[in-house]
Amino acid sequence: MIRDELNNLYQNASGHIYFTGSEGYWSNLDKKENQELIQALQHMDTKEAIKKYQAWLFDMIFSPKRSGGLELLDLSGDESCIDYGCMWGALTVALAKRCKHVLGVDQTMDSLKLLNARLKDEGLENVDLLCGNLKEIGYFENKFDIAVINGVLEWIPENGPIELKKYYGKYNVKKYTSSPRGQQVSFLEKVHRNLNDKGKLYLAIENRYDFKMFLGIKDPHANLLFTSFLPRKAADWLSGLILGRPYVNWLYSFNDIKSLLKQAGFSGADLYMCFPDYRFPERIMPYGSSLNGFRTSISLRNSKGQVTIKRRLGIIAEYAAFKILKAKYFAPSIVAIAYK
Amino acid sequence: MIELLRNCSNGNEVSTYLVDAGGSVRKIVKTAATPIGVNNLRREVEGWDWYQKIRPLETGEPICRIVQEKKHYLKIEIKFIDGTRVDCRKGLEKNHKMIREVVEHYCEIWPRHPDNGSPLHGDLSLDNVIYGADGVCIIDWEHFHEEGAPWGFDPLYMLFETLFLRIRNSRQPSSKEIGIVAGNIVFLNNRYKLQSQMMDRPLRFLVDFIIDNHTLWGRELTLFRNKFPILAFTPDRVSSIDKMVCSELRARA
Repeated sequence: MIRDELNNLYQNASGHIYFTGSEGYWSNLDKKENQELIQALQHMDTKEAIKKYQAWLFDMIFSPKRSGGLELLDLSGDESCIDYGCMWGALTVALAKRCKHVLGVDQTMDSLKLLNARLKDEGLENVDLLCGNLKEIGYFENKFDIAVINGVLEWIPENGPIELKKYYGKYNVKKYTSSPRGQQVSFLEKVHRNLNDKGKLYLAIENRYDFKMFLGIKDPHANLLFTSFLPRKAADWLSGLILGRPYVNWLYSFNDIKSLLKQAGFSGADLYMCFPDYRFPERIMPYGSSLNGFRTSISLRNSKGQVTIKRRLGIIAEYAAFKILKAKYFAPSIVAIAYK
Repeated sequence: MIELLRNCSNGNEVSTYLVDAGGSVRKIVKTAATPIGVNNLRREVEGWDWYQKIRPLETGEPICRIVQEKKHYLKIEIKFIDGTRVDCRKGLEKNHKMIREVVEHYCEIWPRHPDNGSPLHGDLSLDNVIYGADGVCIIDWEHFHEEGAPWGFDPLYMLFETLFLRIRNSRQPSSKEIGIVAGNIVFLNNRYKLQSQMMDRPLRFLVDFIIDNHTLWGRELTLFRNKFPILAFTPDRVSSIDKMVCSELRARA
């Protein structure tokens, strides 16, 4: 049992949370906002607290849409899962409802505290949480049937605390010692080792060549134009010029993702195109499919409910790229189901 | 291979997948992990069960069954029904043949119980009809109730939804479109006498029925009105369309 192993190896912090001894920080919220939320949880449930203090995150955390890709894993209901970089648990909770046990790992204790409260609200007892750095936590050799890496691989090369709002500016210039790809591969090797023989990995990430990136939509990680698809050296130069640090949030094409997984030891992977993105998927189609029956997935209205010219142009571009040109290579996001 | 076809669209909480198990074996899988979504899937299973009893399909086995059930999660499987579908956005005129097929199908199979005691599909739109080897087949039973609606509600809803998707609030319906609506209302009324309000002001009746009975659809009415396009007709439009349909009905009488 994973729970026994956690009890042997780590200190229990509170509830279902275990602590490796090394806490980090990665959050869309700054520390003060997180504190406010955690305090609110003493007298209200998680949904009320998020609605009251951070309503813009409500769907990000609670929407059932978030987990639309998990069925690609063809779950039997008896699996033991690990969710790397689980944050507030959009997928942890979804896995817990479908499977036998889930271990959520994240470096940000504040996020885990919210998730812990949420598990209580939902009456889910089959989840444990581990606070620690994904690159540093010990091995759970052959222990898991399912691993989930949802929007996390591109952050693996980063180090040190990150408050996302500040990360979009010129702050916190750090030393980067090894190549982003090297770090991503060694992380995936660990993920591979932790899976059992029949284990499967669910990996979701933006496509380096997402058609929107060519049309002036900023890279969602560095918040810079064109960095994702430029040659790595050019992206480094551009990021250095504007942010004073190299570009490390490396994304990949469909083919590159396959070779990355192979390099990490996975025997094979099924690739899927994800529209309009992997976070709130509307449509997920096998990469080998012919895109017949494609419908545009970008919503006409923005988060404020307004119809904008930008949105209209986005829909036209999406229609042209996928309905007419069938340009699969430029699909917005990639989901890979990889086999041990 | 598996493909995500729809994911919690129009505010519902169900994900729909197409599973291709090799050869020509295809099936639809629907999953939900919230109380509202799970309830919709239970209705879907109940709806198919009811529909298959009154309208036996080629296959003798159940079309829809539960494949996985947990405390907070439900997964159901539906046999893939091959056939053609029409685009409801093309409106009444281009789809009038298919519309009549559906109305005839409804008249043939749908039992009439007194008052509001007839079965409700709850989302009968041209999108949810397949024309296959066995003729018209109605799919997507997520809002099924074995009783709760006046007889004729579902096809009447389909007529006005198809009209709305074509004209919205921007143009007046053409006389042909009004003719198709009125013709089908007469057809329904010839099978079983419709409630008088459904003849006098059909669109107003539909709008009021949905609003007064929104619990039949769960939370979708209050939070996601676009699930019911006809609710977007302005009150003036509702009255003017009703007037046109009624005068056509009187002319036909």
